[in-house]
Amino acid sequence: MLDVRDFLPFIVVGVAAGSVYGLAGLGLTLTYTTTGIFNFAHGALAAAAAFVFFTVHVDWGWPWPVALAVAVAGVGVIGGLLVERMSRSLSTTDAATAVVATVGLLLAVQGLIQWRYGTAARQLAPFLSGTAVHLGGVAVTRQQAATVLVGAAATAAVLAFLRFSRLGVQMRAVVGNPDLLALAGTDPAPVRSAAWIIGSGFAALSGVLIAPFLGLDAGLLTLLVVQAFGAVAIGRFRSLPLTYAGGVALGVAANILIKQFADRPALAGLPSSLPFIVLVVALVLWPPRAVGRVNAAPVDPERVVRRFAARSRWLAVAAGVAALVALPHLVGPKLPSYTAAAALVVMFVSLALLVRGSGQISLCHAAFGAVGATAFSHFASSSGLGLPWALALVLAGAAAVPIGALVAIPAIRLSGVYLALATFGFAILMERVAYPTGVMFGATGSRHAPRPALAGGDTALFYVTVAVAVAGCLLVVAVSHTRLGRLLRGLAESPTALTTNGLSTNVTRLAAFAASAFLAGVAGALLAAAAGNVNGRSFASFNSLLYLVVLAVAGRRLVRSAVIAAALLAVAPAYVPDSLVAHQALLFGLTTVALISLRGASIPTRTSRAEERLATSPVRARLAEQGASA
Amino acid sequence: MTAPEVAGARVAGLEVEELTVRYGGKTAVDGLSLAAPLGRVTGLIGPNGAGKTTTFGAVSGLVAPAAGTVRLFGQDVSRRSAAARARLGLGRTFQQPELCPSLTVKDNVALGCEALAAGGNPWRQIVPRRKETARLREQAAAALTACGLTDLAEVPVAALSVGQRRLVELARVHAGGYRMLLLDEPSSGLDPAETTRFGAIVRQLVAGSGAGVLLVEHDMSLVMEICDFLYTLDFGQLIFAGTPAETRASAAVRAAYLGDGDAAFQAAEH
Repeated sequence: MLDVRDFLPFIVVGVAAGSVYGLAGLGLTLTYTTTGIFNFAHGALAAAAAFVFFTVHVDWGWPWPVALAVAVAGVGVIGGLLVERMSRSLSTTDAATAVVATVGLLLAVQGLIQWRYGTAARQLAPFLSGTAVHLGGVAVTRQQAATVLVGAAATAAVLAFLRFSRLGVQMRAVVGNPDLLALAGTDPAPVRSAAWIIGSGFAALSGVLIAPFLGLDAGLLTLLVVQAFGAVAIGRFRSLPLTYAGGVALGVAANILIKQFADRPALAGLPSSLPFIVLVVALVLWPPRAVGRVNAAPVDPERVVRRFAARSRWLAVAAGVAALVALPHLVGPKLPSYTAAAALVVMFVSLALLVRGSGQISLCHAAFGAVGATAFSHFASSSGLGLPWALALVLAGAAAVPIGALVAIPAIRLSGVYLALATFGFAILMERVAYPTGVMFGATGSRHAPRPALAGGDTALFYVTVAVAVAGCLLVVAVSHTRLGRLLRGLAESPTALTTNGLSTNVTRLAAFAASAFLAGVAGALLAAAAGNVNGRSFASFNSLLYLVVLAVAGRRLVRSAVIAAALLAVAPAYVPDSLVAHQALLFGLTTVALISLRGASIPTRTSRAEERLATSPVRARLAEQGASA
Repeated sequence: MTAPEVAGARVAGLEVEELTVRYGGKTAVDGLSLAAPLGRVTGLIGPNGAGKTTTFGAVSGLVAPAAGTVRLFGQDVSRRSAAARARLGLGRTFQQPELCPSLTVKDNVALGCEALAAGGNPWRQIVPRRKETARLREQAAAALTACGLTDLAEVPVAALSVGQRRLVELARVHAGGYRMLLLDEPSSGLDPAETTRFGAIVRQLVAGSGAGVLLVEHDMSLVMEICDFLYTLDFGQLIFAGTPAETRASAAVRAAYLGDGDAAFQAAEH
C-alpha cells in the first residue's frame, strides 16, 4: 500500500528542484522564441553565476541578497550582451553554425570557471538557514521555500512583462517579423539585447538557487541546469507557463523515481536522466516547427580557392606518406599522441560525413565511440571472445550501427537545433544509463582493449592505426562521390526537392547515420586499443560537444579539417605546457566565440568544394563580365 | 463536379475529392473537389490566399489534410508519402523554387533524376544500377535542351534569377518523366520571351507524352491560352469550374478578382 507521507519529503525536494528547472527553462524559452537562437550555453551561464555568488558571498563575506544581485545582474548583463553579439552574426546564417556557436560559448564559460576555480567540487552552504514550515510532518527548509517562491514570482513577473509592457510586446513582435518591427520604427537589436539579458539573468538566478542543493561543480551545474531542456520540450519551445509547470513536474517525478529506485542500484542513473528522456521522447513524438527563418549559409562568391595541379597533388601524397613512415623515428616518446590523433581522424571524418556531407548535427558521437570501444573489448580481448584484431575492429564498427540507426529516428523527424538537442539528450542518457551497465564499462568503469598480435610495439601500432585512418578517409571520400554522397548533399540544401522527386529521405538519413556510427565505432575501438584501457570518461557526453566545436574550428575541407581537428585535439597538447592542456576546452571555446563574433564566420554544412565550384565556374566569370559591361 | 471528357472517355489523372486542409483553426481549403485528367492542362486560379498552394501541398503529400481523398491514375494515394506519390508519377514545382543553390543547373536536374531512381530502396540509394548514372545524365541533358537551359548548364543555381530557377525546376520534372505535373506559378519572374517558351514546353509535354498538368498561375493571358479547363478558388472554396471562356464570363469569378485581377481579365480579353 502506497503511503503519500512516505513520498512527501521527495515531493518537497522535487518541487524545489523543479522550480529551478522551470526557471532555467523559462529563460531558455524566452531567448529562443525572441531570437530564434537556442542557447546551449544557458547552463554554463547558470554555473558561472553560482561561482560568482560563491566568491562574493563566501569569500568576500558580503550579505547574500547583495551577492545574489551581483551574480544575477553581472552574469545576466555580461553573458546576455555576449550572446547577443554572437547571435547578431548568427541570425543570417544556418542552424548548424548557431549550434556550434553556443556550444563553443558553453565550453568557453565552463573552461573559464575551471581556470579560475579549479576542477575540485566545492560545497555551497544554504544561504538561508532554518525551517520555514512543517508540511504533514515534513520540515520544509527556508531555502526550499525561498526557491519555490522566487521561481513562481519570477515566472509571474516575466509573463506580466511580456503581456503588458511595451518592451515585452516588442519582444513578441521581434519573433514574428523583425523586419516589420524595424519598418514600424523600432530597432529590433535593443529588443533582442533585452531578451538576452533577461534570459541570461534567469539562467544566473537558477544557478544560484540550485547550487546549495548540488554543490559547486561547473560540469554538474552546466548539465543539471541543462535539465531545463526537458522542461522546455514540455513547453513545446514556446509556452512559458507550460515550461515552468513542466520543470516542476519533472523535478517531482525525478525525485519520486529516486525513492522508487532506492533499492535498485542498477536503475540509479534513471531518475536524474528523466528530463533527457522526456526531451528526446517529446522531440520525437511532437516535432516542433522551427522558430524564425532557418536560412542556408550564404555563399561567398569572393572566396578564392587555390587548386593544386594534378602533379603537385601526387607529390603531396608522396610527401605525406614519407612523413608518416618517418614520423615514429622523429617524435620519440610523443608517438602515442600521434597514434591517438590517427584514431581521432576516423572519429572526425565520421562526424564530418554527417555535418558537412548532409547538414545533420550529431552531439552524440562520443557515445558511438563508447559502443565501439566496449564492443571491441568484448570481441578482441582474451577474456572475451578473443577474435582476431582486425575482425574485432570491423565488428566494433558494426556494433555501433544499430545505435546509429536508433539516433536516425530523431534525425528523420527533426533537423537543425532540435536534432542537436535530441542527440545531446541521447548522449547524456547513454552516459548515465548505458555506460555503467556490465555490457559497457561496468561497475569497475574500465575495459581492456588489446593491441594487434603482430603490432605490439608503439611504432607498429601507430602504422596500423594510420592505415585504418587512411582507409576511413578514403571511404568517406568515396561515399561523397557516390550516389549516396550526392543525395546527402542535396538533403543538406533542399530536402523538399528530393522528397518530391521520389526519394525516401528517411532511408537516406538512416544510411548516413549508420555509416557515420560505423566509423565512429571503429574510431572508439582504435582509441581504446591505443590507450590499452578505456573508461567512460574517455567518451563523456562533453567530448561530443568538443568534437563538433573542434571540427568547426578546423576548417571546411572534408578530410583536411578532420586531420587538423585530430591534430589540434591530440597532438598539440604534447607540445604545449601542461597548464595550457588543462584548458584545452576553454581555448577551443574562446576560438569559436571569437571567430563567430568577430568575423561572422559560418560553419558550412557543405564542403568547400561546392563553393569552390561557385567561385571558379568559368560560366560565372563570363556572366560577371557581361554584367560589368552591360 | 465531373471531370471533362476526353474523346468520350475519361482519362484518370489526378482526382481530388472533398479535400479540406486546416492550419490550426483556419480552414485554408474547404471541401475542394477537382480533376486534372491526362493529356490536358487544367488551371487552378484564385486571388492570393485562396488556398491554391495549400491544395498543391496536400496533393503532393507535403501537407496533411484534415479530410478528403487524393487519387492518382485511379489509385488512392491519400495515405502515401510525398516520395511514394512522386514515384507513381506525380511531379511538382514550387512557388519558391526548391533547388540546391551550390550545385550547377545540370547537377540539380540530374539529382532530381537520381532521387527518383534511388527511391525507397536502401541499396539503390548507395549503388546505382549498371550504366544508370550515365543514362540519367543524358536524360537531364535532354531536358536542359528542351527547356533552353543548355547555356546555363554549368552555372550554379545560386547565380540564377528566380525566373531561371523556375525553368530549372521545370527541366527537373521534365527529366523525371512524370505523367502528372503540378506547376506552381511557373511564369512569375519570367520575362515575356521565357513565358512564351514556357507555354510551348508545357504544351509540348502534354501533346508529346500525354502528361497531365495542373497549373496555378496569375498570368491570366497565359492561363487563358494554355488551359483546357479552369477551377476558381476563393477563401478555400471552389466558386467556379468551367472552360476558360465560361470562367471569363462568370460574374462570381469577376467579383472575386475585383481589383488588379479584374484588370488582368480585361487584358486577357484584348
